[in-house]
Amino acid sequence: MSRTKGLDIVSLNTEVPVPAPGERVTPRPVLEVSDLRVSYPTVAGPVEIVSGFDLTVAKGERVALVGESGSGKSVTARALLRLDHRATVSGRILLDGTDLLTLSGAEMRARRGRRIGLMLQDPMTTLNPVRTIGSQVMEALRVHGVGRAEARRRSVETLDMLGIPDAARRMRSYPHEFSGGMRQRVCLAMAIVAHPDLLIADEPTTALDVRVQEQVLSLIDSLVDEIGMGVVLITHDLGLVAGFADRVSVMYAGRGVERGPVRELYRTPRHPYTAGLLASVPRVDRDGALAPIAGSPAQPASRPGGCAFHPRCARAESDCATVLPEPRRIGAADVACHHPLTAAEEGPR
Amino acid sequence: MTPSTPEATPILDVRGLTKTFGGRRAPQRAVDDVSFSVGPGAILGIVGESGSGKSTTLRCVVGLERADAGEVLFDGQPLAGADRETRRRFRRDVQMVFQDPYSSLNPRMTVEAIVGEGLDIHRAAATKQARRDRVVEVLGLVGLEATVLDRFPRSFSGGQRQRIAIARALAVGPRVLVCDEPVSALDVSVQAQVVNLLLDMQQRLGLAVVFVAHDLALVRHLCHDVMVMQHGVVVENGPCAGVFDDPQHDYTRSLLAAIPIPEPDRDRARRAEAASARRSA
Ligand SMILES: Nc1ncnc2c1ncn2[C@@H]1O[C@H](COP(=O)(O)OP(=O)(O)OP(=O)(O)O)[C@@H](O)[C@H]1O
Ligand SMILES: Nc1ncnc2c1ncn2[C@@H]1O[C@H](COP(=O)(O)OP(=O)(O)OP(=O)(O)O)[C@@H](O)[C@H]1O
Ligand SMILES: [Mg+2]
Ligand SMILES: [Mg+2]
Repeated sequence: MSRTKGLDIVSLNTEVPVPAPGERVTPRPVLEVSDLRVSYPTVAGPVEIVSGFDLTVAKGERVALVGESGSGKSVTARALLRLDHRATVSGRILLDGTDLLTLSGAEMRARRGRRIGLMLQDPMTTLNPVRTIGSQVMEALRVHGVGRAEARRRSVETLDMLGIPDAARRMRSYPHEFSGGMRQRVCLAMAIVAHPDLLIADEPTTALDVRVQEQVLSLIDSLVDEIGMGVVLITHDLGLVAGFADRVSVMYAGRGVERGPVRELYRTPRHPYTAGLLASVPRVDRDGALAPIAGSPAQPASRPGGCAFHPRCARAESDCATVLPEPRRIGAADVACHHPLTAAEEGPR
Repeated sequence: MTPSTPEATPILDVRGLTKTFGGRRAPQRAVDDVSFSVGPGAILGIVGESGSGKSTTLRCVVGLERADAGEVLFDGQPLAGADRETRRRFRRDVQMVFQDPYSSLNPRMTVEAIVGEGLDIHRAAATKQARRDRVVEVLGLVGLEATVLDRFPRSFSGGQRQRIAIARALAVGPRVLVCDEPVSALDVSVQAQVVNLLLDMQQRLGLAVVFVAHDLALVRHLCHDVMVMQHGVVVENGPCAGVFDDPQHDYTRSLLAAIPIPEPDRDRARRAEAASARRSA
């Protein structure tokens, strides 16, 4: 993959101050989310999908948001940018100190793309089928006043670094002429081409082979290192998280159950759910059957009382069914569990 | 469960498939002389580079795309020029699960209508009640409750939509399932359920599966044979164990080397090494 080049930061972005090499700036939060609640109307009345979720992302920090299918990861991502008018959102969403929930529609639009780049899980709702790939990536820059030629140059460069072969020519293609994984990369290009302060990427690599995935993560890494972009990576792939994220936040049934630095979390998971997720990662270097967590994920509409995970948990006792565990600090992690694993009990391996 | 050995006579036999896009001025060969076959109860994995022609291959096989060259034999009979009855049987017996669970589900249809549609087309349910029972049954197989019947695709998560798409393909009781990344949006617990379901159907009913995936651990676990594609060409194929343990082609080797290790320190070391190899390349 010799086409990966160094990032041409100076010409790409002249406004963001780059810390001097070696200087260790105290990371200040780009994003501070507290007590996020999101509900949707259903035929049976409103259902609270996300139920009091906290998330902090410092400048230049990579945070992974993980959890099983249906746990509320995508609903959270959409709520942060207030994309869904049917959703009722409450809590606080501070972007560089400004609460996004107090902004007008126009003020919100001004921040999308430039300040926050969002890549949704579903490429085809992001891409317009009747416009060329090139015009759509360029638009992410054009709306912020970047000139045509410059926008084109940067768009081709970004697509090229994401491994789209013959990027300059393929700018003229339409979305249906791209493969699934190529469309996914176009959506990521749209989210990062304007070099946002914060990238929220919802399952950005599910349609990519592991080699291209690595190339994509390297590009995100270089933006983190060079312009201090903060990243929220939403995924169910814990294999991918291990080598990429600085911190991990684990979600179950719309609530945060554990969060902490990636090494501690993988070495000594405290929440039984986290331990279960880690034990179930399939490995190509080990034989043996898949080891999923027993039972199926709780549904928001019928979320069990107390700790929502208790019906699937081997450690559950009577208080788990009745009392909602508050997050508390254990070591470097925040854990919402009445009976967390101790370091001695170790996790999956 | 481990996959059992397939029988000899192929249900699907694909020979020399070739497809070029882009007209005469800028032709682009998406699929170049691809051949493979699957017998009853066989599970074939297709892996490879994003954009290497995996989806195009499948679309040509099921007839959604017209190949420029090559042929598809169904139960030993060429599909081109086959009679209507054979083609009808093919459309029923060979079901496809599409790569994108968002655009492949009609947003204006309920889950019941989506999953039941094939039953109507192939007149596979005698009464309305029989149709509903079958829809509920296949939804149950993929871990979705009957309460989802009246909901529209928009209100489902990515993984839930993918399961609806799998249920739709299973509803008519196919003999071959052609799946384009059917479990990419699923976490391990749901994935295991779907994978075990496929293995169970493979063993009990002789279901044959062609399975495009990027998760190599899963391919190794599920498939008998694997076919590796790059730039429209099959660079390597054969029994899974052989290809994974003793890859012959450089591309296969580099692919295996890029699999993340779910341990923070080891994977960081692996990535750093890969990055410096890329820089010096
Ligand atoms: N518009 C909506 N109306 C009602 N319920 C919804 C809506 N959107 C999502 N849900 C429900 O909210 C829950 C969380 O959905 P979400 O899409 O956030 O899951 P996820 O964690 O992203 O899962 P996946 O990994 O499968 O993408 C699901 O149970 C889903 O059915
Ligand atoms: N309708 C089309 N018109 C023009 N080119 C196309 C069309 N469909 C696919 N292609 C091109 O053919 C090549 C192969 O695409 P295909 O979708 O088969 O790849 P894939 O292996 O499925 O990739 P992925 O893993 O990313 O889904 C790509 O370069 C793609 O851009
Ligand atoms: Mg999602
Ligand atoms: Mg594809």
